[in-house]
Amino acid sequence: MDNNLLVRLEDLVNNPTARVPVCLCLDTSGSMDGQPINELNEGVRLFYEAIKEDETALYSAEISIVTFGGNNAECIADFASLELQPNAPKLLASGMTPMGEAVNMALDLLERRKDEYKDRGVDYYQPWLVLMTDGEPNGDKSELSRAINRTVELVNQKKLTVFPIGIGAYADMNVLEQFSPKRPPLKLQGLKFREFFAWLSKSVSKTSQSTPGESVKLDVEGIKGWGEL
Amino acid sequence: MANGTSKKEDYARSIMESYVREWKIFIDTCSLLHFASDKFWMNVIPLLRQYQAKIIIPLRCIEELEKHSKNAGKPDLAKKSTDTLKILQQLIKADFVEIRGEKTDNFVDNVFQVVFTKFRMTHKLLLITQDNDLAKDILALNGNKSVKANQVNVKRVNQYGFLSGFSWDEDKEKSTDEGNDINPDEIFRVCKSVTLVADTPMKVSHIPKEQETVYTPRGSIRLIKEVAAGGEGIIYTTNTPYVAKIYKRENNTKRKCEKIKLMLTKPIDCEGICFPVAALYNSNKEFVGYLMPKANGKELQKSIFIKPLFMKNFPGWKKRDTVELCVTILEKIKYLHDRNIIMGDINPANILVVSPKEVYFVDTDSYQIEEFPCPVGTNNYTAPEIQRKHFADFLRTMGNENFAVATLLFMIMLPGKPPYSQQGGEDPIANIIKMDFSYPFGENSNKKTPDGPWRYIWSHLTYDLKKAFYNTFRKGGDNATESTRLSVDEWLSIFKYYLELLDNGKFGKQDKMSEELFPTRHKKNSKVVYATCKLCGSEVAENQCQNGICRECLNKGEVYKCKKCGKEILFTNYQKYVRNVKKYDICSECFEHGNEVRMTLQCVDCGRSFEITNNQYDYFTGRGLDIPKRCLACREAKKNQSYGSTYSNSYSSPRPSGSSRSSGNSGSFCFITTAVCDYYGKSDDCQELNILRNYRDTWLRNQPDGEEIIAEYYNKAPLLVSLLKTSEHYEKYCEILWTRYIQPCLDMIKKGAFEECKQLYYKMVFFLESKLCKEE
Repeated sequence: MDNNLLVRLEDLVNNPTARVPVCLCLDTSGSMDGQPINELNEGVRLFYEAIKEDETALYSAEISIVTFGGNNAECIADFASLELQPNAPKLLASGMTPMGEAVNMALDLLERRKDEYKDRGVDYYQPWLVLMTDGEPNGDKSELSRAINRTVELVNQKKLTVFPIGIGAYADMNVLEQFSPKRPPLKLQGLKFREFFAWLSKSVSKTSQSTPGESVKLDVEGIKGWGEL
Repeated sequence: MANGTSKKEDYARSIMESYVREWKIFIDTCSLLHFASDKFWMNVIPLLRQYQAKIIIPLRCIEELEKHSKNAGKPDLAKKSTDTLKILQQLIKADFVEIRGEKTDNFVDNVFQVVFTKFRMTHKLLLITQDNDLAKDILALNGNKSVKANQVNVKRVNQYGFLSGFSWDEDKEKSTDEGNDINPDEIFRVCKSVTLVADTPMKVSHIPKEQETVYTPRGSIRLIKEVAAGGEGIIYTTNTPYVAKIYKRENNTKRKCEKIKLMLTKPIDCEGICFPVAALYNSNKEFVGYLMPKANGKELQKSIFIKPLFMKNFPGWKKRDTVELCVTILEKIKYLHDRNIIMGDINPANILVVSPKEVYFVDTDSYQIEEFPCPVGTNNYTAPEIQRKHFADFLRTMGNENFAVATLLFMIMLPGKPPYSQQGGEDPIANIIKMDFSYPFGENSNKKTPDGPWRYIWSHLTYDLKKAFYNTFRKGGDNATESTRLSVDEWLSIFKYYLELLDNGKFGKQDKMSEELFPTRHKKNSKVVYATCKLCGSEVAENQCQNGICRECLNKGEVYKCKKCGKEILFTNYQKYVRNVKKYDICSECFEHGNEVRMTLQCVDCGRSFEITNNQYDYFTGRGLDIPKRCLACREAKKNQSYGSTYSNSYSSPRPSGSSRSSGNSGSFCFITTAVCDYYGKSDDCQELNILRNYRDTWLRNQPDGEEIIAEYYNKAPLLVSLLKTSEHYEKYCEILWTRYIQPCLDMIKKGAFEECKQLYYKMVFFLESKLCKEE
């Protein structure tokens, strides 16, 4: 990987396009093993491809991925444009579901990136946090409640758009709901990761063609293609 | 009070306020005697109080008033003058007015000339007068461009007691529209209120698609192929050279239809402006869209505004090409403005570029025509006064539009960078409303200019252009309000002049880099000496270089991973070439962690407590050694005894414990020297050691990296000393250290060569490390 510090900083300075930071916070616990993780990988890969095909989104979207599985939350990809970080990582499923830790890490990354934008004088859109899980969190309880409080506060201050999405029958929709004060969490239909990520990339493209601060309507109609309440 | 009037009043007050706040204001006799002068004082006094400002009146004016007050031939004038003098007396007492000048001043007009010429170097000066000739004379001072002076301005008191410009001044602005022999039939009306025609969808029985026929009043046309789908409709090629826009059902409104029909009433024909040429109907004679010339090229947003795409689409462009592009675009906007067409939603997706001479304006059906508003807008291009308003509900003014024009020009010249993006900025809308423009002009700067190439690009623009941008975007600037913004004609003359300077080579003569799109340094200043950076080869101001390397390169360097935690570390060229430090193996967090105290123990010999840092702990456990039971001093004392050194006397009494870190005599920085002095039988408070300690505490510690170096020594030195003392070459090393390093260091300190001393001391540690650690 050649996405080193310098290139990332240089890109930040040279590229005048307003950024759309998107953090994917994904469940990679043991229960995701097999077809779910394969479909998730394929979905993320298609998401990357779709963004790269759109010239405006390519220079605007910055994607980071935090996974929660194994014993810990892990940052698989830090914020950078897909020009610098063109290939989707391959996710492996195993272990526990430390969701709170992962969301806290994701929020930390977002905060840090926003500071970098501000320091360099780069405009940015309200960041997005996609939270996907197929189970219930079993990390540290206080971390989880801290993550929920931070997320809710940011959403209420209009500083974050959050998309909590449950996968399969065992996803803890109650916890996901606590993360989303403005609209109810959605449930993925079956394993329609591809449809979800296709929708997400379209929404990112649409946002990248607006101006920061402008309200962009979400394609609610499109949600029906992959999600349900 | 009607809303409209109060708004106008607010506006007039805000202009007055901007003058009170930042300008020195002078007033002339005739304005003092103006019938609305009472109102003027009522308007201006709250502002004077707020900003603790004063209005200046030359003594000659007072004398003139006194003369008038005795004029028996003109009783009205005499009365007015007497009253005015009374008022002035109160105002002077209240500190709102100041009388300046001497009896020897010539006649009044001349006073202003003299004062304005002199003080405009240091102040922004405003003269309030009703006298046309005086106004012209004062304004003529602005023509003198050779001096680096502020603009002067002249206003008159109007009937409302606020400030207005001079009518001849406004006339002149209008008459600069040279060569505008536009047929009045081509010019649309300027309207004041939005049309009442409904903007709700009409019933349409069928929306035509590919391969279907549509109708114009002159005949039928076939839609061939869909070429683009936008928010409100689909564009098709046709069996004519034109393309057709067919509205989606929900966007096909009565208002759209009426607007297109109105647009077609005038012969608008300008190469590159894709203006409707015919309305289109389906077979049931229902309006479905319009026909227009075909556009070519790449959207500004997807070419000029993103550097990699810019390079890909237009390789080989130079600054002159973007300047010419601005001229081309401005000429088209001028064509529209001359016909009272307001583009409204000026944005980089609606302008397509083929070459600097060939551009296309699309989405023309959104333009504001007469009472039909432009219903859309883009934040970055929206003037502060109409931010957060709903675009479909009002008609934009030419002043609103001129803000969008200025923004577009700025973003072409600084490719893609919005004028209000800045360091530590808020959201773009808030930045626009605050008008906190961050690019510097003259001495003025808010110091928040975006990093990287932007400040360089800015510095290479022409003076006129920087001034125009600055005054347009900066709050309080000469062209910063709706009524004062530069018109397309004014921008055109600035850009044409710029192009001329580039094409005749005059601009390149000052600095060749000004001809490039992306300069890599500030524009050259004739007073500065330039050097070529050893690393990147670019020319930079010599005093910005260190060891022949430019600042940019000094901040760059090699990126590698921390040996402990794997985090990326940047080893800058500054560290490498200027400070000559070694690459750290570990990142600063790991370094600090290493120096943190892991445990506090009690010395079994002297009973004092001592600390073991994480590094020391790792060192001992890593070598399979036990954690020491004695403090450092006792350990050394013990070692010396077992050593049987003849010089062990100086260690006979335990020294203060190591827990008092860098303070005290046995401070770590001089640890090695202490050991060497010890070898030479010198005492702990010998002259040499005191010199070094003094150097450490008074000079080294105050260097930017001083604390770090001292801390680093603290970390290394005790280990090195213990290794030194157990080394089989102990004697030899002590002699080398003394003659090659310590002695020369002392000489350097005596000569005041502190930096060299630091370097040499550094080398000494390095030498010792390389010898002793190898032995291990």
